[in-house]
Amino acid sequence: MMLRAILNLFAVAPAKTLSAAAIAAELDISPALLDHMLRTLVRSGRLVEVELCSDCSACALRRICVGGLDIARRGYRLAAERSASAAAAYTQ
Amino acid sequence: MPTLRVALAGNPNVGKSTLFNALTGARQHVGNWPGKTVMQASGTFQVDGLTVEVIDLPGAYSLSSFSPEEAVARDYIVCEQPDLVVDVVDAANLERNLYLTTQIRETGAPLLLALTMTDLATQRGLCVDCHALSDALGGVPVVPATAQQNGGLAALRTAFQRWATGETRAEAPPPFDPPIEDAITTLAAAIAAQPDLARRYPPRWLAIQLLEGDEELLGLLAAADHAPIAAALAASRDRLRQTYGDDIDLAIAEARYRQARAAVARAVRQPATPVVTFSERVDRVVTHRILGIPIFLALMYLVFNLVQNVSAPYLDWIDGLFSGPLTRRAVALLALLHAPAWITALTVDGIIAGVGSVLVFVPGLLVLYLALALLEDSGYLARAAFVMDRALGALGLHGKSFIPLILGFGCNVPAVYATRTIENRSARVLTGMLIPFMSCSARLPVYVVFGMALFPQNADLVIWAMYLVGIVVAAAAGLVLSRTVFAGAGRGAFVLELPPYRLPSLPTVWWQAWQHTAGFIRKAGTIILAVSVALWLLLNLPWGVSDPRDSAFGQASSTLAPLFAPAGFGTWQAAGALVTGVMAKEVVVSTLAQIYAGQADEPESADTTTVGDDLAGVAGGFGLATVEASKRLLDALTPGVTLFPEEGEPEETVLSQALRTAFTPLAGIAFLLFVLLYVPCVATIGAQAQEFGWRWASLSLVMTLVLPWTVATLVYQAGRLLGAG
Repeated sequence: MMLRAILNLFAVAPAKTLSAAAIAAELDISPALLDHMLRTLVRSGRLVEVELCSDCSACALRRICVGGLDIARRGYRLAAERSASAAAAYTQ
Repeated sequence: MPTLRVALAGNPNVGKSTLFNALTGARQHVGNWPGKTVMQASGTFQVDGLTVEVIDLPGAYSLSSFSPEEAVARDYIVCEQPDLVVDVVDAANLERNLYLTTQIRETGAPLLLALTMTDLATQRGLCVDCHALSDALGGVPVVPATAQQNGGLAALRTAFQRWATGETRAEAPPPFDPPIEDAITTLAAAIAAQPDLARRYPPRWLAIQLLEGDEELLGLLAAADHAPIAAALAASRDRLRQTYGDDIDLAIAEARYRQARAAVARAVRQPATPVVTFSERVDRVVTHRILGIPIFLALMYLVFNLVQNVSAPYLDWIDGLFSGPLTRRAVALLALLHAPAWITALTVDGIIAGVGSVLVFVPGLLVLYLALALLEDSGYLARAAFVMDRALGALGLHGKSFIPLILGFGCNVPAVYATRTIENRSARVLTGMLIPFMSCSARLPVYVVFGMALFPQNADLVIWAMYLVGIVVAAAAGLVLSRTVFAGAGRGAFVLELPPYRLPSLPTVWWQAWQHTAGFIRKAGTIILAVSVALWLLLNLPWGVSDPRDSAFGQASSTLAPLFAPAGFGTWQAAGALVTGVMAKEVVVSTLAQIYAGQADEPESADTTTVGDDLAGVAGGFGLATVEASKRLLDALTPGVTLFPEEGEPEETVLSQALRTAFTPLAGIAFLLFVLLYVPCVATIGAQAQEFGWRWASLSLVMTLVLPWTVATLVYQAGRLLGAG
């Protein structure tokens, strides 16, 4: 049950950032497959895709930002309305 | 002539459009970005009397209504019912691609698999057995079809012919888990009883979508005559909930992944020893639990070494330009215009000294931004952020704090706004409180000017240490705040997709670095110019005052100066610079430059050189600076080897001489620590107030006044006790 295992990681991991590559290695799946699974979880409403600082030309802060650093392409977090219940359900 | 209508489906970036072009010869752009082929494209070709019409569907990871691309692909396959769907599959990422294959099989559409990227799969040591894959997929024909290989295209054309003559047909897809399969059967029967729906959608496929909770298709059930289907769906879901809880959709998705995994297990021979990619090999080192941070720190040291050494010759050149030719020509021009003496003094001691003292750092910042852009474009910076986050996470900081904190190295203001990505308010405010400790680029000029004046041999080390101290103080403050004021602040992980390593694109790197540097120049032409003019006025009021110390600014600064005496820099000049520095940190340098320029000798007479001499001197100076910077760049990139030993002493600026007189090295370090940790600028405080409210902004203000004073005083007093003063 890979999808549940991924959600479990989101729900129970202490405050930290996980790299997709590290999770793929932990679950023994390819990073490409993990990427697909993360998208599936986004489609199902379990996760939310977070757009990071990736497009300076579209950023409202570009006029004042003199040091914006494009450091990551995309991130995922638990959908807000599911976070609490998921944390409770998956930690049991 | 018979016509075969073929739909090309597949994940994005699997070579689908390339295959389409190779088959039809149609002109179509082949992009690298997901969802590039949003519009359908079609073309035709002939194979032995058979006309094949090919429709290039948008790239889709699955058949859902989640994105417009996926909805277009799904609607075409399900509603338009092509004669054949060719699922273009990346052989190097087979398991991921087969998810879509399982979904296409669920639609009941005639299917053929075209394997692309077989060469890449071979490079990775993967061997795909097409016959075994076909067997695993219930007889779905599998054809290797890498577009660049003519043999692959011929095999595909032959497969079309065989399909048209009815030589190949596949079995139905395997069943889901028994409870899900029972629900699908019941629901499909209810759908089949509604002719209007059954004509438009395959009943079994529609039943699966409804159980998965596809919102667009659930909308169909709103019609009154579909009430029996809605009732059957509700009953089925209730039954399934007993087994799967609220995860019925996930159970269906898991079944598809299992099918894909089983097919791969049967058809793909993995290498005996897994092939480790270049990216994985590098990541094993740079994101290593122990080595990661030292590597990051070493690289940052190299960056600041480049900033200090490579930009220094240009710094001297620009300083010479402002204090020499520019000042001379301005004085000459104003004399020609019969400008009053105070206008000349304002221009020379106010504007040129103030703005010029900040603009000399343009080369340094350009080098800094070029280095950071190179690291970023190569994919390293994301790893650095990840490594640092792991360290900060151990100190109790929120997982997503690293993005705003890293942004803080550029400018604290957008970093404060970037905390919006953190949904937990406590964690957001905590991160916002720590951002002022991250050393923004505006602080760099202060480090450079003090470093070069007081520590000419180790300026790069001093600069690097300042950044390091900022990180350490932020971590320590985070640790304290997260266990006191923000105890119990947000939990919850955050998964980050690291970009692949790649060769940096030089135009992109240059453009990015120039954009940031241009922002700095704009700031020099606005805020710093305004502060320089205002400061010059304050330094000259009451009008005609001869000693700057007796000016309004000097007297106000003198009242504050004793506060800083325990930290070793209790002069009115230092106190005044710190006060004006609240507007923007670069102003610390411009203020010191204006104060000390006012105390220095009068500028040279404008008559000693001609315009031609000045232009020749400027051009020659630039050339010499470029030669010197090139030597230093080579030296910086060959650690431990001095290819070009320094010849003679570096040039001294008026400000450097003044600073060496006014500050001991220990007092200089204490001053730099104060500059690092005290209020970043009014704009940052304003951003904090806007994002978190005035209460938190006030707390941050108090924290960034008390903490730097305490740290600077402790360092200075401890240094004195140890005999360093």
